[in-house]
Amino acid sequence: MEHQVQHQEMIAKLHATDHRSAQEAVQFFVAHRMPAPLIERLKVGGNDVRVAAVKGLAAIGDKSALPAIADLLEAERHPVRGSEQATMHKILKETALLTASHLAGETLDVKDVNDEEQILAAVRRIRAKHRPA
Amino acid sequence: MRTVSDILVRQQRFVDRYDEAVTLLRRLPGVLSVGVGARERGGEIVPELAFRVYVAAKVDAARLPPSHRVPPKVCGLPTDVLVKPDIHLIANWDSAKYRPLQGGTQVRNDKFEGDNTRGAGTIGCLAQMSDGSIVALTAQHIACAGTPYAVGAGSGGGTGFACVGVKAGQPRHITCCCCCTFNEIGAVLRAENTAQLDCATIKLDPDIASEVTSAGTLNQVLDIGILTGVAQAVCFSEVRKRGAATGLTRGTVVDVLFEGSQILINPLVAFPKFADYGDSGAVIVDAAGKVVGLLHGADRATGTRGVANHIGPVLVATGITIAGDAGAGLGIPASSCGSSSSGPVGPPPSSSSSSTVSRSSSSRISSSSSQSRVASSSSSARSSSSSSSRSSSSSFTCPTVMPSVDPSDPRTHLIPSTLGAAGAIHFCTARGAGNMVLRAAIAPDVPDASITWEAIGGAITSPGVGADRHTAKISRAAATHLQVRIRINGVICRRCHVWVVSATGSVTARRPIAPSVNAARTHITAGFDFSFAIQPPTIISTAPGADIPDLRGANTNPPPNVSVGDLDVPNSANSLAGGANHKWDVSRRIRWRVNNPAGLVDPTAGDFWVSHLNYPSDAVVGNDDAGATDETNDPYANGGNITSKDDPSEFLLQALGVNGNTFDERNHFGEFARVELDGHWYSISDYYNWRVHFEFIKAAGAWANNGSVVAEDNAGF
Repeated sequence: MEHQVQHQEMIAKLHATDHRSAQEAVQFFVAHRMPAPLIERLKVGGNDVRVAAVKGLAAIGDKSALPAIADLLEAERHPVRGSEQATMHKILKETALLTASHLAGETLDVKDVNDEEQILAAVRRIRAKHRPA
Repeated sequence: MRTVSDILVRQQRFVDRYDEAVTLLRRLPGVLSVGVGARERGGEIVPELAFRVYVAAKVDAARLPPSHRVPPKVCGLPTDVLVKPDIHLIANWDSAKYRPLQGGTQVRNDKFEGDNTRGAGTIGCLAQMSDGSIVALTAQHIACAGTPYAVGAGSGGGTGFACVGVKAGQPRHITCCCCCTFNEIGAVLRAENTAQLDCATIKLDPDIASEVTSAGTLNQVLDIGILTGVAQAVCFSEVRKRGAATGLTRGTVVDVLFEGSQILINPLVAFPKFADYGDSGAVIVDAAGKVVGLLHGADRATGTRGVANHIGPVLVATGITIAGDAGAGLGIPASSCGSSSSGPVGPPPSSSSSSTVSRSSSSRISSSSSQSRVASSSSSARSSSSSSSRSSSSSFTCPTVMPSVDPSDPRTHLIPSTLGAAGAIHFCTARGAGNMVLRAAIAPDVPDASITWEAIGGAITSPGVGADRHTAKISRAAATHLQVRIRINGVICRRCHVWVVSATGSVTARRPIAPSVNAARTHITAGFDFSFAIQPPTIISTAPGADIPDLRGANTNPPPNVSVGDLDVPNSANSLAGGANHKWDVSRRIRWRVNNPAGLVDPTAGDFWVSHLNYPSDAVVGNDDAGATDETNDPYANGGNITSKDDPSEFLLQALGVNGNTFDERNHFGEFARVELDGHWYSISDYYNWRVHFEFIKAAGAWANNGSVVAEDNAGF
């Protein structure tokens, strides 16, 4: 029961606007090897936390995260405007590609993360690697 | 008195008053020196700290006039009268050959011959120079044994031992015939024999070093195991050493200021002696596997105790790291903000008669060995001070002196030490205009004329406010670390540390203008990586025992948002709270100007296409810094540096405009470092200005790069 309460608290923290709480929650789910909340977190904004969630999935090493990472890359394949926003977006894509490579066990050759075609090719390889049996 | 931190707190109380106590005690006839350490009763250590007052022989107090008796307390802290151990050098034997080489083994240079133990000592441990080369650490009187001590023979042509380059062997150097040598491991690289040090390094020959690297014995000491770094010696702590003569022995640190700068170690009951001839050069290792000292002597009177240099000064003198640890911040224990090198208590020594007094008094406790020169020099400083202070402050006792930040200075903050209550007092401010202003609360108060402020490492001016000499000021124009001393009637009554912090920025990577075109859009990006080096570098240390302001870890307050009223500023309505995740932070300010003569409209562009937005008015606001994923803000894990990266980006949709249209967006940036002091954020660097001008032109139905620019300035806005 206590664990369940803590789990719910961490789910809430994972979606908090306070980055530090979200980072704490990521650490919690990594420590408990629970990828599902981190996979869910990839679907909403806040690139700081999404990068941490992707790194958390890499640390857990569960291949079930591959489709979600492919979805993330496909959704974020376009470049964005700005300075820090653009940088964080680029870091998110780089981190997702590295994690996907790690989980898939192969190098996804993307030379330019701003190239939508290269990203889509990587997404196709990721999906092929995790095709339902 | 159970935990190390508890002991350190108590030990620091003694260390804080050490200079003052020495001044008082050295006035008493028969007192040879004073240390800080364990009280002894009937030869047994008891778990209480005291000023250890060393005398040549104990005399029944009843036979002494009251003015000659050692008081039971000095400066409110207990004393313990002890017969001074007579130190002799330990240099003798061991015979096993160890390959790959490791610490705890016998060493002897090529000045001795034959199958005997003359001149032999111990390799304490192996260590590394900054260039990665491997050296063996031992005592100077072992590495230089048999070499002449003469004018012109020392380093830089000064007086010293002509032993740099002397060959050394393990277990002993053997020369046979005219050309063959056996057991050679290298040659003496550095040797120091000063008032506080007896240490030397032997640079290993390439084949020996290679063997060590391959076998992984770099940090290994025979019978002790793998060293984990270096640390400060702590009273009552159990330590061990592995020497060539007596092997592995264990003891208790009973004095950390023996002879004013040395460690004195009693053997544990199970060991008849802690050290003997042949053990010189062994490292003293604590329970955590950290080296705290370098053994160089033993107690001639009992034949059981060991005397060692503190490891901090050894590392500085030799330029080595042990187990990768440079021991930043380690030294000889000193009062809460000074070091023993900061000079004796009392007025600045000017008495020319003091040296004569000190030589005659120290000769009673020393033999004619090289170590006796060391003891003589050490006592000289102390005697000098007591001699000179005798005339000016014969009955003076320090009042309570507590420095604080003067209310006229809102930018300086008292920051706790990394050692907690056992550490020194640290005041920190950010580099900038004006002065840091300190005030000393003194109880009972004293006349202004009796108060003197002085600073080691820079300038301090008193009075700092009006004519009040209780105050002093220090410029914050440049990064600095000062050790400040407050004297009353010429006697140091309080010390503290002052830090003016800043950071120096540089670019570590440049990414040029990179256009990319597809059917939907034309995209242009460029970028930089930045690094800011925290200044002064000594404020960042991970060494155990480092006494520095505790600015580690997460920030306690979020960095500020754009000020209310700063309306024409990017991100004026957004939270910037996530822009920092540590007390140190790299941040960025941004402004931009857009020239859109065709009146292109892209609803997704938002503020980015607003024609003109300014930098924030507050220098500490990073209005292009709402997250920290693009930064590394922990200088303790990054060699004293904090870093950031940025890749600004702009694109135009091909659906917009017609051939010949242009679009120009000028993004200007100021990369800077900031720090949180006691909950307040301060900018600590100049802006590292840079810019990206995105220039587009539509041609042949697609947007193209029209001479976009990336540069390290803020020109052309």
